[in-house]
Amino acid sequence: MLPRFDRIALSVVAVLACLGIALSFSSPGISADGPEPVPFPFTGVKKETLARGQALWKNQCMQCHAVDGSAETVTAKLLIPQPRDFRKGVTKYKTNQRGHLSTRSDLLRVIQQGVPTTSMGSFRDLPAKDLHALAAWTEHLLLTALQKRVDASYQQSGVGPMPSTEFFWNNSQNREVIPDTERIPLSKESVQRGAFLFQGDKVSCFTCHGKDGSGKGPASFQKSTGNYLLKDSWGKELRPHDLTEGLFRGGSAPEDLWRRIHQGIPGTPMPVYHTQLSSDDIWDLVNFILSLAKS
Amino acid sequence: MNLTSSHKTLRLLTWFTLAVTVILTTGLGGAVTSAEVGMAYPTWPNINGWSLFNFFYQDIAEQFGIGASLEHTHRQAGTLLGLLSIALVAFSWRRPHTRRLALWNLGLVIIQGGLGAFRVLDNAQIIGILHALGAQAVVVCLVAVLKSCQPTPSLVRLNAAPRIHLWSLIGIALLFVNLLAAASLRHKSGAFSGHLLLALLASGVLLFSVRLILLQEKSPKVLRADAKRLLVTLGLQLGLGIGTWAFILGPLALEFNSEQTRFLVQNFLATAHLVVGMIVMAMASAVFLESKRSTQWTG
Repeated sequence: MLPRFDRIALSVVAVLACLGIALSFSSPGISADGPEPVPFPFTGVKKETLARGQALWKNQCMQCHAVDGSAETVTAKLLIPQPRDFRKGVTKYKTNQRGHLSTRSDLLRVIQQGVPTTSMGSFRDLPAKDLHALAAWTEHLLLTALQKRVDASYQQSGVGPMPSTEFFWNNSQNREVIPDTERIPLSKESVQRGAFLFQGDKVSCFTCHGKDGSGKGPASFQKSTGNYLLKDSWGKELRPHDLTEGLFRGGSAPEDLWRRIHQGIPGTPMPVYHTQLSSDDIWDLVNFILSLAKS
Repeated sequence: MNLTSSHKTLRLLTWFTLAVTVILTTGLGGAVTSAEVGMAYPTWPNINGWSLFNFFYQDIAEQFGIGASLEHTHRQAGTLLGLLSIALVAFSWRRPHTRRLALWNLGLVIIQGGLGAFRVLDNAQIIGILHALGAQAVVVCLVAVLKSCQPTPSLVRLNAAPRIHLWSLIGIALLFVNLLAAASLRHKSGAFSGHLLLALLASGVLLFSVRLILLQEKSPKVLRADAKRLLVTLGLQLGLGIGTWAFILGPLALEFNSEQTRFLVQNFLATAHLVVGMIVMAMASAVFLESKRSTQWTG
């Protein structure tokens, strides 16, 4: 039998422990403090959705992308490639035409699938409602940055305002790029035609990606110093993708690759090729690139 | 190999495994969480085709960033712990009680590896919290292995023995609960007030156990020594806790000249607080196990 003191102390400890547990986990965990999220009316996003997205952003994304999407965090500096800075309004992996804002569904796709071969993991385990809220908040960050540029431009020139943020947003909708022709089946002949294009002078993919597709071409990599030579729109060192990995950041489906070549990659020196190549040429290139995968 | 030398080897191996767990695996794991680079590379166990057994850290850092390199070394430390745990089972095979504990330890380490994998592959913070809890369980298990390797002490009859057993066990339980609160706080899903209350409560209970041991004149020497060590690490941990609060959540959080200094100071303090917390857990377990081994109620 325990002494009376111990029995009383044990009760006090039990009560305090329960209180401690309650205090620890009574907080909602994530809070949407900070500036009130006011949706851009034309996007049709509800205020509650945006608030939820902001709260989730602070919990899941902020450590890499920073609270304002600037990616100015120390964690970001520890990663290669560095997380996206959304202030330029540019995103790399999207399905609509180059030069247009990323759509919410494209942002959702990246959040769901992650960006293979980078530190951007997949968030597919989040509830669908949260994924949509995160995509809405990411779009809000892009639009806020765009709004600032529109305002700054108007203030600088003092005349005729730039098209509005709403104009840019509307203009980005329903512009999905879809392959013009059916995929050419993977065959030795198609791969050879693709190799000829990749390694030849017509489109000169090899200058950046290297003849073997390793991402170390004469224009992108200096063998003598081991330095990469290209920079992206954010001023960061750019390493052309190692195509032999068989994994692609904007999606590894043949249609994704077709679109990458057709539209290029915004924010990088990878240009559009639909002006130089036919849809079938691009399919041949896709087949060649897929054949480069080591496994 | 005679029994004595194998016994010594087993004790040395257990000490080494404990040191690897606390300093290397947990230290690096804590640094990974502090720097928030647990998802520096979302594949497991290899980093984009780079083998787990790649020791060219510079190359990994150059290709994927320092964050990936840090996470990679944490995974390697976990692998080393797994290998050491297998060795512990092999070396303790002829001592049934120790073998049973070593097998428990191996099982926990395997679960820890699985939790680490799913934390990365599922990008799930809740698994990260469980991963942190599992690390403490491994330490408790290793301390139990260590105690089982020590010579069996002669039982001392103490009037306060049941109270010492009870309060030191409650102290360990409170440390676990507090760790859950602390891990939740670090993974941004818990509140500081709960962690503070539980930390003070666990400290109070452990100090009470230490007092009970030190006030008994007949307390065994080894138990007294364990209690004193617990007292020292508890003091250190409370100091670190105050420092961590002051520089991360308190008045000194805004006093940094540069972002880099802030990052280094805050991460060092948070990681040191975590590592010393684990040593407190080890010491508290040692006190409880030693009291069970060496004391008995006079009644």
